[in-house]
Amino acid sequence: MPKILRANAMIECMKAMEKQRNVGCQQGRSCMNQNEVHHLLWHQPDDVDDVIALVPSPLLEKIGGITELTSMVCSHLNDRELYSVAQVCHSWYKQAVRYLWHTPTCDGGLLASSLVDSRINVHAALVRHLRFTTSMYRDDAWGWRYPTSNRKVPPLPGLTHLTCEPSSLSRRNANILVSIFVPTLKRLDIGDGVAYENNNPDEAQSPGVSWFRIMSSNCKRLTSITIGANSRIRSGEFERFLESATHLKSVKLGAGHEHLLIDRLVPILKSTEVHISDWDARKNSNIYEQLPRMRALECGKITLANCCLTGRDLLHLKVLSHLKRFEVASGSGSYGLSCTAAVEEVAEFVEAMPHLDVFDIHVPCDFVDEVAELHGEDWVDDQSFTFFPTNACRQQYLDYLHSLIQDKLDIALATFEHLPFCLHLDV
Amino acid sequence: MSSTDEQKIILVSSDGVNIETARIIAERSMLIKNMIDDLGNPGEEPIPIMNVSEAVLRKVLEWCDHHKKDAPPEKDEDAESRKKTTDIEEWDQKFMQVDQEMLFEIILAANYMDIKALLDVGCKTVANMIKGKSPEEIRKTFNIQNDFTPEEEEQIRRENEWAEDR
Repeated sequence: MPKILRANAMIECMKAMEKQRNVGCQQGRSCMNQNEVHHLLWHQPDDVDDVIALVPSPLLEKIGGITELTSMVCSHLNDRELYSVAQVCHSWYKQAVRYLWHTPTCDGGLLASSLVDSRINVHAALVRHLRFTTSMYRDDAWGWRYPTSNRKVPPLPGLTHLTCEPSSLSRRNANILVSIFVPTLKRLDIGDGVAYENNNPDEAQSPGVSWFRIMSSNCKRLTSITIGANSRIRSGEFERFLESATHLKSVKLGAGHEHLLIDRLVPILKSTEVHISDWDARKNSNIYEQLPRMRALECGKITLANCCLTGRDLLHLKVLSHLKRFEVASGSGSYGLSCTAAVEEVAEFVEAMPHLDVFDIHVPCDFVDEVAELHGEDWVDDQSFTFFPTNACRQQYLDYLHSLIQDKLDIALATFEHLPFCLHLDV
Repeated sequence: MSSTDEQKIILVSSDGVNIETARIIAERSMLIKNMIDDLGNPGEEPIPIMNVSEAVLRKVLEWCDHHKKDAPPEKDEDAESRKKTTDIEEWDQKFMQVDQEMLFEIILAANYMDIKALLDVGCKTVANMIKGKSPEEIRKTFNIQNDFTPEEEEQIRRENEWAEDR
């Protein structure tokens, strides 16, 4: 249908609907399902306690009847407020309970109460985002208390986002893992040191089940996965997982995963933390070669041990133009670390990163020391900074770097002018 | 300023009043934007806004005028995800300082005219009216009849009581 005819038809249709609505109102009919009508007053009375007869207001009935609107109001409420709203009336209950169970915390208390009662499947079907935790922290000793009874976690057929907090998958049995690693899962965030005990490198001695294996075989629609530090996933398993997870668009890896930086990961790796311990080794290492190829990288952290970050190293990473966060830190027990890049090289690196929000070189930097030395006593400590945004935004930091470059030039020229002799180059 | 921004269009309220406004202001409403796109010749024919009275339409256009340069809202992939904030910017807070009747009229108009950001502000205002209230207080505020049986009330409390302490 041509556009003009479609618009005219739309206007005619709206006019007809309006006419019908007016007729309905005149005849005292309500367009709502009578079962869903909750009797709301139009005006807030001065003293609500004095209201004996509740007078239905067509407009407010309409708001309560438009599921979308009640739902939008509920989306702005926290759990406690939703709990109150759920107890107001049937129609508000329907919306509130959807938001309430959208993101429950699946701790011991919750498992023991609501999830194990007769309506377990009703609530389980509402869960979209689950924060999976261990039980409460044990008071009498160091460590986490794990559930001793076989509390049942029902299958969560609508789960799309799972957050597993640190150590939460340790000592879990396969039934629980199958319940939470469901095919609908799209986003998975795994905390640091998760399932520590389940990933014994020697499988014969490992009594636990591998959460990663169960996740890999069940969750084929994952689009995003974040794995915290030291997950102990093996590279072979990880490569097989990447082969099957064809929808995966984003991978973020915490520290201790250098062995997982494989070719297949290159286009989708968004965040990584790598540990570089030795200058010579890094020159030949896979990591050194792989990092500049990871063009999708948004967050990068390099932990140095017994080596320096040079200007050449920094410019080697200049191609990572999507970087939003770049950090350099020292590894534990390391000494003699520094960033030897010149100020011009640091400026070139920052200029090449238009989206950089966080830049932090947390080791001594030659480029500020160099200018400080040139200034001598005129230099004040707060003029040296090697990070933003705490002290500046990206542009301010660039201005600062350019001022250092200018200082270097000015001091060099001044030095040249005060030389006791003139150098004549007559050809 | 482009010629599209300067273009005037005429809207007709449900009580038959013609209201002239700039196209850029009216196009905050996706309903109007789609109709203009379909008609092709904006300004030539008045656009009827069937379900919105003159007073409410003028109020809605006042909001659209203030927010005419705002970026279009981002698409929410998970419709049931929590917004977690009921912060309303100062101008919008003052704009929403109206009686309940007008507040709900604005919400309905924003829903009908498909103005997501205004709908959002309206719903946040209602959410703020709910905050800190018990079920009984909420019923009183909005004059809602309790249609639960005592058994249902008890069941709802039992099943969801974990949320009370969070």
